[in-house]
Parts: sequence; C-alpha cells; structure tokens
Amino acid sequence: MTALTTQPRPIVYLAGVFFFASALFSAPAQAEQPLEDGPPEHDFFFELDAGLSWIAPNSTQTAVGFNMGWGGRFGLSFYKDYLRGFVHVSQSMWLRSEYESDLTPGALNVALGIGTVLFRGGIRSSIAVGTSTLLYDELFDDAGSTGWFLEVRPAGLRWSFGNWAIVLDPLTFALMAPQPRRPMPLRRSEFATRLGLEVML
Amino acid sequence: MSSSRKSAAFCLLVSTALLSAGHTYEIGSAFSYPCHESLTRRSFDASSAPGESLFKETAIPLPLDNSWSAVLESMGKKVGASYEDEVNRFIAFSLILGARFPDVGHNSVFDANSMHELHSHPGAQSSHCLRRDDDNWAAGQERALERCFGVIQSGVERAVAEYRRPREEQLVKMRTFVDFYGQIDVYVWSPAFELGKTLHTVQDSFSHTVRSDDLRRIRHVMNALEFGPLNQPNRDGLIHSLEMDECDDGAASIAEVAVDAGADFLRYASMALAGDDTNAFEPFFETWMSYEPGCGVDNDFCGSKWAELARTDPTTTIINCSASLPAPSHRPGRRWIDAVILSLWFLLS
Ligand SMILES: [Zn+2]
Repeated sequence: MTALTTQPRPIVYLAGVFFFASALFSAPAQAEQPLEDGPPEHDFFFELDAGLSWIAPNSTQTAVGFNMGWGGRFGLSFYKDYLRGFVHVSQSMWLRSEYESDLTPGALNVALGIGTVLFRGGIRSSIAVGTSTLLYDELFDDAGSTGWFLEVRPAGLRWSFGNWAIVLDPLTFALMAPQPRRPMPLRRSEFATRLGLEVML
Repeated sequence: MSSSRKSAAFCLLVSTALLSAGHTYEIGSAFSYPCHESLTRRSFDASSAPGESLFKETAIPLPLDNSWSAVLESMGKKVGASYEDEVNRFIAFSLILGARFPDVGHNSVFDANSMHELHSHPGAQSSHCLRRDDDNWAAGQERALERCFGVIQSGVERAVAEYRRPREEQLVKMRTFVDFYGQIDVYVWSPAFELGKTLHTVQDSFSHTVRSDDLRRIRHVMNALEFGPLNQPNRDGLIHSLEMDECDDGAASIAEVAVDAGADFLRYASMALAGDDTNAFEPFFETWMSYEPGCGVDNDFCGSKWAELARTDPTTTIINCSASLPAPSHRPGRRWIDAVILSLWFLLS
C-alpha cells in the first residue's frame, strides 16, 4: 500500500516543476509574437527527435535503467495548433547492465496520439498510445513479440523560427511492454529528456 | 578510469557498497569484471580431470524449466561457462549463482538500498572474511577468522544437509535479478548453490587477508568498515584494498592460487557430500586456512611479499560514510535519490 500511495508523488512534483519552469521561461520569449502571426487554421507537421534516459525510478528493484532512442511524429494540427493528432514511431534502445554492458536494439513503438500547443506556441503537451515490438531476442522472448506502449510528454519547450521549431522535452514518461504477460513480463519504463526539430509542412 | 578508481568514484557518489565497492572480489556487471563468477567456474573446471565432473555421479535431475540456461548465457563470455554437457552447465550455474549471492542476494547490483544492507552490516563481514568494527587487536582478528572459518564449515554442512534430501527436492527455485525482467525464479541444484555461496567466502579469504608468501597461511585480516585517519591498522586491521579485489589485474597472481584453493574446496566438499561426513572436509582447513599469529603491521606481516599490494589503493574515508550512514529508508521515494546519484555516477564514469 505504501508503494502505491507514495511512489507517484515525485513524478507529479517533477512534472509540475517542469511545467511552471516552461511557462516561466518560454512565455515571455513568445510574448512579442502577435496572435495573428500564429500558425494557420490547420496544417500538417512533422517532427524528428532523440532522447536519453538513465534512470528507472518506477522500479523498486534497480535504480539504473539507461535507455536512448529516436522518434518521429507526423500529423495534423487544428484550431491554430490548439489540437494535434499524430502518428508516433520511436525506437528505444535499452542498456543491459546487470552482468555485462550491452546496448540492445530495444523496442519499436508505433502509436496514435493527441496533443496541444499552448502559451502562444511556447509549450506543447501530448499523449500517445499504441504498440511496442521487441526488436531482438531477449532471454525469454523472441524478436517480434508485441505488447502495448504509452507515452506522456507533459510540457515541452518550443522555440519557433518560421515554419520550423526546436522542441525540448525536459521530462517525458513512457511505458513499453513488448511482452506484458505473466509470470515473466518484459516491461520497461523510461523517463527521458528529448530534443527535436519540428516543421510545419 | 581504472576499475578500482571507478569503484571509488561510485562509492563516493552512491555512499553505499555496490558492485566492486571495496568489500569483495568484484562480481560481474556493466562496470566490473566477473571475478567471483570466473574464479568459481575455473575452480569447478580444475576440480576434476578434463571431460569429467566432480558431481556427475550424483545423477542430478535437470529441471524442466530451463530459464537457468538463459540466465547463465546472459552472464557473458568473461565467465566462460561453456559446457557441452547440460548437467555440467547446470552444476556450474548453481555454483556461480551461489558465488554471487553474498554480494547481491536476490537483488540487482544497482539496488543501492539492498547493497548497503548486504555489505555495511557488521554481521555480514564474516561472509567476506573481513573484520567487524569491534574486532580489535590480535584477539579481534582471531575472532574474525573464527567467524570466517565458521561460515565455510557451516556452508559445507548446509550442502551436506541439502544433499541428504530426496533428489527431486534438491532442485529449488532461487530468486535472482536479470536485466529488463527484474526478479525471476530459476532452478538451482541446492547442494551446489550452497557450495557456491561458501566458495565466495573462500575466495574472499585471499583478497581480504595478508597471507604468507605461498598463500597457504593467513597472517592478517583486513577491515572494510573502518577507514581514514581514525583507522589504526594495529587495532582495526589494515584498510581493505581495492587493488586486492582486482582478480584480472593487480592481484591476478593471488587469484590464480585462489582458483586452486577453490578447486580443493570443491574436491573435499564433494567427499563430505559423498560420505555424509563433514569431517572429510577438515584437510581443506589444514591446507589453506591455517592462522600464523604474531604477524602484524609493525613487522610488515612477517615480511609477507603481499604486504605492499595489500596497502595499495585502500578504500577511502569517503566510502566509510556508507558504513556510518543511518540504515537506508525502505520508503520507495528513497530510490529516487539513489537513482539520481547513480545517474550522476554513470555520466561521470
Ligand atoms: Zn565478498
């Protein structure tokens, strides 16, 4: 019971801190941009990013969980970017550390997501849900094993340059389970920092 | 960054005993060489003629669940446990998992709280043939050695007791930690697992003591709990040396002899198993574990040629803060702190 009630708290605190920090530092930078210069009513967008994660804070068994990966998103924005719908593709590579050091190909995640861009383009948030597929043979599971994927990006900082934008997500949270079945589920959590480039097409 | 320096940096940041953090021969991980594992495998290989196996006659039933085989595979090439015969592989796996046990228990090597408890508790020192913090002067050293020998003797007795059980009951599930899956249950052959645990202590009796030139007699027991300027080697024992834990580097020549001692240990233990008689094990103590009194810091351990090595790269005072820290919290939130510190270490190293 203790674990259930106390463990999520730091996640909430951290997300809150990043959200307010994002608002604090990004909003003034965007304040001079008049509303009418904002993005058009609806448009396609495309994004590429890379991320790094080195802790597994949701685990009660180990403190280290090094992941690195890349991702891409393609979708449509509506209502001057207040709403986004997109397809998400990402690869998360996992570092083996218990016996030897070895960066595995990890999992390929394919998902559908929705998001929003707030504070005059300064901050964006999104959530994506989909599948996670193992890309290599792990101890008890074969490549191709597919389960579920969830990713939340609560507050990403966004700097626009015309049709382009640089996006920094200080903290994203992903859960991927290429093999979710008991008694030996293969699940991996990821608290990552991601840096990306976004273009409105 | 050398392995021992990395260990020191790690301890500085984590403030706990982890990986090769100054308490034992290293165990395998992403950042350390699998000393205990490879020494155990080599002792097992050396304990019988090529192509034969010490325990082959015992007709061990192999478990239907062969998860153990995948775990052995994941331990990597440095451990070198490649056997064509499945029974031999299973025995080697049980020994190796046992040899890791005093260092990691059922946990991850990166579980800082568990590692802290396993390594910094005074009661845990005897499994690593080290002094407790109250083992002072020559009398304390003898007490520490008695406890170390007691761990070895009782380990063999436990193995004999396991061996007396019906064959099918000798297959027991052991909880262990593997990458990405976390804690899983794998089968081990319980007599070999117990012998593996005990072999760990035998191996540490080479890395945590100063011995005679031929490495047969123990002259001095080291201390992994009391460090820094407050340490008085005459009273507390020589500070544990990180260099002595490097089985593949500085202390390789000592490790070679530890392999021979380990092979002898397994041979005598197998006799004890076969005869249900732990007295059959006595010659092992006479050969490898005799105590030579009167050798201390003042006389350079009676001129031991290992004295200089034992004084190299002592565990630092900073690491000692791990031993003086209050018992770690069991609140899950505490793991965040461990995680952040470990992350810093990972980046720095
Ligand atoms: Zn040890």
